[in-house]
Amino acid sequence: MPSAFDDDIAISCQNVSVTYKTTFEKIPTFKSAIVRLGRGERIVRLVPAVKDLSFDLYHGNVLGIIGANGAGKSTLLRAIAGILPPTEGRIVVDGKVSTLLSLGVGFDRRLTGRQNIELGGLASGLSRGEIKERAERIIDFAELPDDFIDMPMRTYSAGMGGRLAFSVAVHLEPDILLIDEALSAGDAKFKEKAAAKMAELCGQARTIVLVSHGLGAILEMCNDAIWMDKGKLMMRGHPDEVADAYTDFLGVSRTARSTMEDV
Amino acid sequence: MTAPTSSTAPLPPPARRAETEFSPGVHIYEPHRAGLPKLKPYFRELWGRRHFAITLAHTDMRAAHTATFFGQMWLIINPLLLALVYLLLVDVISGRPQGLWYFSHLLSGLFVFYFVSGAIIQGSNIVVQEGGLIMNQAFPRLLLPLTSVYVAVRRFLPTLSILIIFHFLSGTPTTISLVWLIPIFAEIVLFTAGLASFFAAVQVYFRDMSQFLPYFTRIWLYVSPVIFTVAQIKKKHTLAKLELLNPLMSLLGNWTQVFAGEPVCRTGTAPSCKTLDHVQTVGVSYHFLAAGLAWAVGVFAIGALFYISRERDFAVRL
Repeated sequence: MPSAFDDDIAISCQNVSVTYKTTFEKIPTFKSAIVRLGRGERIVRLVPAVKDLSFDLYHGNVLGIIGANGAGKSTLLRAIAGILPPTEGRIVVDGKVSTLLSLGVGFDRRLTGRQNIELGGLASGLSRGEIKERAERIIDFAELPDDFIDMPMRTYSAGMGGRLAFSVAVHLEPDILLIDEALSAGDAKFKEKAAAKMAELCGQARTIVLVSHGLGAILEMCNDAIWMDKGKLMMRGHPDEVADAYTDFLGVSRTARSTMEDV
Repeated sequence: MTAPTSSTAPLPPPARRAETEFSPGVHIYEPHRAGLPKLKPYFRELWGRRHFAITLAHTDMRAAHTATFFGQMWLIINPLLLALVYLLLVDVISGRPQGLWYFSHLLSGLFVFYFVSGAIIQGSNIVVQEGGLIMNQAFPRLLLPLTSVYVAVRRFLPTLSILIIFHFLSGTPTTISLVWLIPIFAEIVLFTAGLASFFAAVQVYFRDMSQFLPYFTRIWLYVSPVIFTVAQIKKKHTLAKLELLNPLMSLLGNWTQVFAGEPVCRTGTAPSCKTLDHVQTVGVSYHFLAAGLAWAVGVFAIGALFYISRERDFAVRL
């Protein structure tokens, strides 16, 4: 309830459920609608991606969300970003949100990196002047080889795209940064740089939510963690404890965990 | 991480309770499959992101090579060739050659009709096409169909040069009443924006709708005052009654009448005279202007509100 809303809370999820309604056909068409009507059937399958999930997150924390594929991690992130409305419950978010969701999407591959920076900045509500001012910092941070910044993004490698996306997201000066698997493509050096940048953001009382199915990044960067399985919140706690419980659950040995990125 | 590596000046306290879901401050997201947000802040936010829409439109045009010289030429050549086809068609069906005046009338109607249908067809695809953006960014989604309309306007503008040339060739007097073309076109743009928004939302639910659209627009072209003049349509009683239901009768009818005027024959009957005496100006029809405004405002309100009420559902449907 808003009256109980704490000033220091960045994200508050209250009994949040997100359910997708899907029909059997992959692409909904008028034809299939008529065929269904003719048969007198109405096949709708409900996919509960997030089930009755509640948690509060205070400003200045880095929350890691771990879980297997299909656990509802990305859906939860989209709901927090205001992209997907929750089917039930309520999400309260305090501050400007910047999203770095499933790598590279949201970028137009026909355009150059520089044009994409402009488009991404404008979409998030920055003015042209603010973007121009930040563009150089974004480009410097991304450290793209050669003159790739002025080449169409379809010529980029996955790692280069990921670097640029991360650089744009952190330079939008968000209060809350949502990152979905974005660091998996970067090399070790960039990962280190990204971790340092995220630490800097936290120092400014900004909040980060990091989704990954690799435990490495979560253990390194987060001070708080959530484990989700099949849409439900299984555990909330310190990343070490949550990671232990998660690996026990998966039946992977704990020693293997540190060497395996994608558990 | 436990200790932050650097600390800069603390952030100012976040503004409390954001007005829309797109601006900074506290946002509350609750279940809402349908239903409208507060419209005033929505449209304020929309206006605030207009540069995004413009940049997206330029991206689109760049991708279609519209910005190049030959790209621009093609935008003119394409409807010009089409107008020639219709001219020949009318020549063959009516059994006598049509003059320059008729060609000017045909062009003025066809170019504007192609603006309308182009914006609708492009708009119907844009939500699905920009799915990546929708899945990753929260912004007023109405910007997308409006982007399509903006692209269509930008594509229409170069064709005006051809219209101006034929205006002079056809002998239509150039009078001050041509200024009425501006508010008439504004009505047409608003009307088109409403339709583009409507079809953009429908396309998310029925992906094959864009297959029907070209047939729909083809029929619409035939019943609108493009091939026939307003006077000809009014004479045909069966069509005339139905034309009350056609928004383009008033919108496009007003446009072609003001643009091309009306021929006065020495011999034969207008509009296809055996010998043309002169072309006289037809002033703006206030009746059409009022009807066009009603259509434009009504269709935009319905189309945009329908789109906004559905836009939160898009991310789930894509």
